[in-house]
Amino acid sequence: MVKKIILVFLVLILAGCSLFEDKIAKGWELYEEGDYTNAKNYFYDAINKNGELEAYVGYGWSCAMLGDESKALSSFEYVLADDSTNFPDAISGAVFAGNAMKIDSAAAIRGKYLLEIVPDYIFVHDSTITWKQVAFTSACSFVNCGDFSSALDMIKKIVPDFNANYSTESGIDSILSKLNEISQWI
Amino acid sequence: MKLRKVIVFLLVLQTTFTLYGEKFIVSLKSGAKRAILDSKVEVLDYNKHGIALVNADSTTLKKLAGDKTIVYYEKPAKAKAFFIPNDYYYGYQWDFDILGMENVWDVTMGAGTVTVGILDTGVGYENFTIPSYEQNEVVSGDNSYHIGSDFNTSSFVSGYDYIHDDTHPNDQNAHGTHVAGTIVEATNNNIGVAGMSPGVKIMPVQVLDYKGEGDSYTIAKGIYYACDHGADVINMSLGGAPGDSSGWHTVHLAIIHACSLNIPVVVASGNSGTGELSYPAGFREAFSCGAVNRYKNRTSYSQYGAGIDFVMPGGDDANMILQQTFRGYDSEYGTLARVDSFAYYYYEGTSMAAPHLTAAIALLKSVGIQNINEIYGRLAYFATDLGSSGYDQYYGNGLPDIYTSLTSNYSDNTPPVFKVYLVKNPVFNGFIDVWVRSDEELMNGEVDSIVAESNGERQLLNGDFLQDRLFAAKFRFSSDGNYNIYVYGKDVWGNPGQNSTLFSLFRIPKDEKKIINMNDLTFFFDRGVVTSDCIARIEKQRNGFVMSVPQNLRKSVYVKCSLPDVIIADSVGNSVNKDADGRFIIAQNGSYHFIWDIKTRKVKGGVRLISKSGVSGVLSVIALDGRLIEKKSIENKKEIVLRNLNRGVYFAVISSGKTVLKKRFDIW
Repeated sequence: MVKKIILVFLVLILAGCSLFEDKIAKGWELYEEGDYTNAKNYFYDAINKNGELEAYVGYGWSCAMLGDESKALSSFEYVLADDSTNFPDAISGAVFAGNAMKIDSAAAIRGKYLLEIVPDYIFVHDSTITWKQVAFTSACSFVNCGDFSSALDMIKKIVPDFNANYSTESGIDSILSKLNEISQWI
Repeated sequence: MKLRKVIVFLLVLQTTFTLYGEKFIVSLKSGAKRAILDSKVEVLDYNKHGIALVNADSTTLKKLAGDKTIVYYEKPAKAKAFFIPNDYYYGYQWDFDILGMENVWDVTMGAGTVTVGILDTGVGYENFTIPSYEQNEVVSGDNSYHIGSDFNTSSFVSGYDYIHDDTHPNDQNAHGTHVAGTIVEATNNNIGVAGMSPGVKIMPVQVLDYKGEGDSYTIAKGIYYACDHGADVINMSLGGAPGDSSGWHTVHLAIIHACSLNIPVVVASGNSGTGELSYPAGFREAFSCGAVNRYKNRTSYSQYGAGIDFVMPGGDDANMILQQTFRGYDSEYGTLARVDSFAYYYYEGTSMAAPHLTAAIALLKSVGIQNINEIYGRLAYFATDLGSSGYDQYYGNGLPDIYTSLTSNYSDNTPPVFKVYLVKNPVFNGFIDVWVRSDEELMNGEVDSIVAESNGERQLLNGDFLQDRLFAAKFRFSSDGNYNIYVYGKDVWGNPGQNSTLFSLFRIPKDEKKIINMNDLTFFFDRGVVTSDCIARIEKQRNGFVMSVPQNLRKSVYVKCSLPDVIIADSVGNSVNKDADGRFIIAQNGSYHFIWDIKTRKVKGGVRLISKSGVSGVLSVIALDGRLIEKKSIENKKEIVLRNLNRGVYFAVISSGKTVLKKRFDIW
């Protein structure tokens, strides 16, 4: 009898786990289809059920696509406060959201960090978002912090041949021009 | 009789000659007789070493030089004593040394026509019995206020005491007297210390009480009083908490009023050492002043931040500012000031720095420079740059070079020119970073405003200071349409500049078809062309448009152009293909340029214009100097040969409706 009860509990626990995973997987499926509202709901449910960090990542990206970058950033920050290295999609999300929210210092440094740990980063749920966008956004945020040397390093990841003397006004202006130009196609 | 008249006339002529000749120094040739000189010119002074000062004209002197009477002649140069005041403690005034005051005093020591309003704790400027209602605020052995002994040749005009509502703004704290001393301390009087502009007049206006405290209403009244009673510049070594402008609006308006009368208001930046100015220094109309030490480094207490204008000596623990005042109110122990105990005290603070700037302005006004913009421009343009290159938020425009500001003829009336860079967040669409570069230093180191205007709506953006003449702002896309980014700012001379940058932003929805019409171009975005909603940017440039196609393109974008002679090329110049309907097919993200498809080939005696698609319209050939050389109508021409042109640079201009296409070529 005791064995039966234990078995029932195990089944329930495993079912529960798979239920959370299903919600997250479903969330990403909807996200990839562009149904961000429903994706967000699935991720929200998953967060409420067991609070997995992956659910926060999905929730953040869904919010971002729905134009709520503030919630998105909070969600990414939550993930990164707990685990700053194993969720590159949270790092990239924090880069884009941080830049949008004028929290440029954090956005710039996170972008640089992400490209150090995953140089060929691609967002698995939207392959149009890659290391290039991360490097570009990080470069823009470095400019907003007045760190033109780091901005140049980021631009060079996208345009390796580009160079500029960031200690001169003309060099800084060519960095700004290059970002202006990249912005038109990236 | 006639003869006499002539002689008289000649005598008069001679007299006129000698009276209206010029003074020259001459050097007699060795052995030449002085009598020869006396017979030719009026000798004003003769020196046994063979030099003389004469009144003569240059023609006569040239002849004398030719006759070998004199070796040379020259106009005497103007010279002044390199004035060093004899004040007993002058040697301790390092602040005057780093400001080069001895050179400045050779130009002016301040004019009696200039009045400086000191809004402070009052000034020790008169011998006056302490009124009963002030008896418990100060201490004096003879129950009187006194004038500082080192103000013995200083001039004061009537002021006002807004703390006690009387006409005797005597200092009850010692602060205001120290401040006034830097400006107007009697100089070269063998006692004490010197003042920077001892010739000007001081108008004491008491707006702070014996504890050195006051309120913004009283200060505003003080500014209006000074303005109404002839002040030419106002010093306010006072302020509130860093970065807190609440409650200072009335003072702000009073400062604006003063500026409208060309009365600069100098305000200390504050002593908290933080990265925000106190108010009213934080108001851009104020001449805010931070402090440096003897070595021109910012002192640790000197508040800095957006809008700081200048730094002046304020001293540090190692080297403070020495001036005359009395034993002051001690806030720690509550000890009252002793107003009969004048001596020389070392103080430090931005309160001490500000009067140095005020005195500099008083000196500029003393030589007739009255316009507030010119005053700011001279002080800023000629300032010694400190800290990072150009304007920065620690030192502002730097340490004013008073001598050059007084003596240089330079001024500027060209407006600043702004260059605008735009980038958009590639993923979180709708956030646009705007970077603005000014070609010259700006007043207060700031742009006045950056405005994003679209569909009649204006978003006022904060232009954050990035570095010298570079500013950053951000705005958010609100709706489809043309956007104009306006930048407004004034250079340090007050010349207003403006720039506008036009571009278009359109939201491309993932789930809807979208057609955008822009002049001669029509853009077709089919349903599902992008993986997620995004923003497309189309920018008008000098020779056409640049369209940025977003990165998350899933299908092709089609562009129809009504102009036959325009092609679309990618960023490396490859033209894109057309479909059967003549629409350009843009299959991947990138930057696409709309360019005129005409090439030039040199032919004997001229040039051939070649168009793949054929050109229609009115062709004008215009020389570089604007002369019209040739004009004719053309219809679907793929080749046009222009001959019989002289050597030079020309433009082929083809007008077709509202579209004007221009191609430059040269004949050599």
